[in-house]
Amino acid sequence: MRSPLIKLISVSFIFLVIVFLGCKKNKEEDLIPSNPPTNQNNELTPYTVTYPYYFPPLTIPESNPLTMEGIQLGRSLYYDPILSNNGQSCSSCHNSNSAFTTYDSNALAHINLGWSTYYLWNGSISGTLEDIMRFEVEDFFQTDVAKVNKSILYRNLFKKVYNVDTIKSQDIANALAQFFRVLNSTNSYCDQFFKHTYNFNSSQMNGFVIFNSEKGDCFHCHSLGLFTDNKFHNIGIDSIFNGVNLGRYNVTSNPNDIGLFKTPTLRNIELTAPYMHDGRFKTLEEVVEFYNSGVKYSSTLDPIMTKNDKLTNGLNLTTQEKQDLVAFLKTLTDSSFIHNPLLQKP
Amino acid sequence: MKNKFIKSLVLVSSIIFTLSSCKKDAIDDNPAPLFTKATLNINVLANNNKVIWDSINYINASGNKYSLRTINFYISDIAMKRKDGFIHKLNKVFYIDPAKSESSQITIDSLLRGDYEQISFLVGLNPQINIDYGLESTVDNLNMAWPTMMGGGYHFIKVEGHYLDSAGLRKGFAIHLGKNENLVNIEINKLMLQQKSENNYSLDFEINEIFANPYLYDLNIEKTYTMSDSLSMSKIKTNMQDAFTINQTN
Repeated sequence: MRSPLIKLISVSFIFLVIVFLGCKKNKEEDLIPSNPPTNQNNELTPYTVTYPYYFPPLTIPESNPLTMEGIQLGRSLYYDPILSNNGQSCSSCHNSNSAFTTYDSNALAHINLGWSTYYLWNGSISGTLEDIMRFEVEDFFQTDVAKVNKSILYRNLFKKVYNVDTIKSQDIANALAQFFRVLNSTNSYCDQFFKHTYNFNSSQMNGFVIFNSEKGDCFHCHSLGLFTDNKFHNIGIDSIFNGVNLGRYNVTSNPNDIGLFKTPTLRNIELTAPYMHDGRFKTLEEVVEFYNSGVKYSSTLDPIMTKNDKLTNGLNLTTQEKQDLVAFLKTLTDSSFIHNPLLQKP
Repeated sequence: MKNKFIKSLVLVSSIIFTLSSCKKDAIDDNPAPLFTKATLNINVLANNNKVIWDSINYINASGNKYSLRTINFYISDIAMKRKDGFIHKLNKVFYIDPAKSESSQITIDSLLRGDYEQISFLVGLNPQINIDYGLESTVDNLNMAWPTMMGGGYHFIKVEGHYLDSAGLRKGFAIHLGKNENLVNIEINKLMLQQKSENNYSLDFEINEIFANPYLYDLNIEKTYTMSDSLSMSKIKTNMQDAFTINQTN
């Protein structure tokens, strides 16, 4: 039988422990991550995207962490006409040999879109890759999700990757987003030049200088690294606008946005003809000549495009300088990207 | 008797321990904090009004009617000087894009309480970081890069828009500053009372000032694209010295 004193000491000790824990709680809460990882499935293999130091950090939502299995699932969906009701898949218009677009199409190439926040030429969809993929699934393809659910293969894969018994359109979008986050071109000749493993010839070097100086003034919109500023500009291809040529205006209804389009990346530009939002230029030479002498005036023309009397005198590039600029643009071709077996049809 | 004494001792000890272990929370209620917070709300103004983008509403000292489309700049090396000579330095770089509200506020934490009489900062980046990839490669920083063949580093500021030329034709202008010699050092002498735990200031940047005082910068006469023109950049740099004002708002 315990004495009253021992009882009292025991009770007091428990009281003190409770008090101590009560006061400690706040400190423990500080240690809890504000956004704990959602994917706790140990069977999945985490995947880390690598890219050069001159690329911005790639944002990956904590709700959709990259895994080998998730990327493979997205890759299968990318090449599978099951997404559509007309036999088309993403790859029907975005072929790897054409840097994930299609020759003779003005579809924007699927390159480095993990660093974008606006999608499509007029930026009608904004947000994360998960957002644009949901648009592709629900609006563009109008995917019959029931059809995907009938596939035992996909049901098993989605169960493994996302632990879902019934596949929803957002699950499909998430898997596609994972694949898009690895559709990255980071090893062009130009990248190798930056890494000092490739030497530009004199024409390419001259083109690089024109690109990155006031002479050509390409760098203000096609910033080195991503080769896009992810913004919207009216570069002067039209002076009168209607229909699709109204560009960003069709999204915002702001008259100041008439004729503005998203700056496309120039990576693999050699492979993504034709050019501009309506594919009006068939060759890079035509594009360079447009910038050299064809800029048209309108009230929303980007301030940079009227620089140094561009409108009246153009860039005044010589024939050789125009060839040099094209030679430089072709150094943005990344054969390791377009031939990467991990990005091809499974 | 002995038991009663021990009982009382244990009880009193528990109460003292309880009170002392939770005492820390009470510090937060101190009415005269040692450390304070200063929040600078950056307002870009034209003709004393908050900028309305792409609207040819503004008139500079030369009478040029103009609009604004893009304003991006860096503020760095902020220092606040207290009356007793103490200087609080903030070794940080802030990218300001007034079109994005989230980038228009600077918070200075752990500022010693007191009356401050001067704030200084750079519009741009000091030479140690004004080098290629001297900043983290964010999308914004990449867009501010100043090409290597033109000196490297970053644009300190971009102000772009349209103006009506003497014939009434809408033309573009792009006032860009970069290169170490064009770093803008701002010093504002103003009493800032950092007495409360949180203090707010309005840091106003009047765009019209870059076109006036001491140099009248007439867009019909001067270079409308400054990037490759040292003289133009030098004039803009000098004009910017008094383009900022600060006012305490609480």
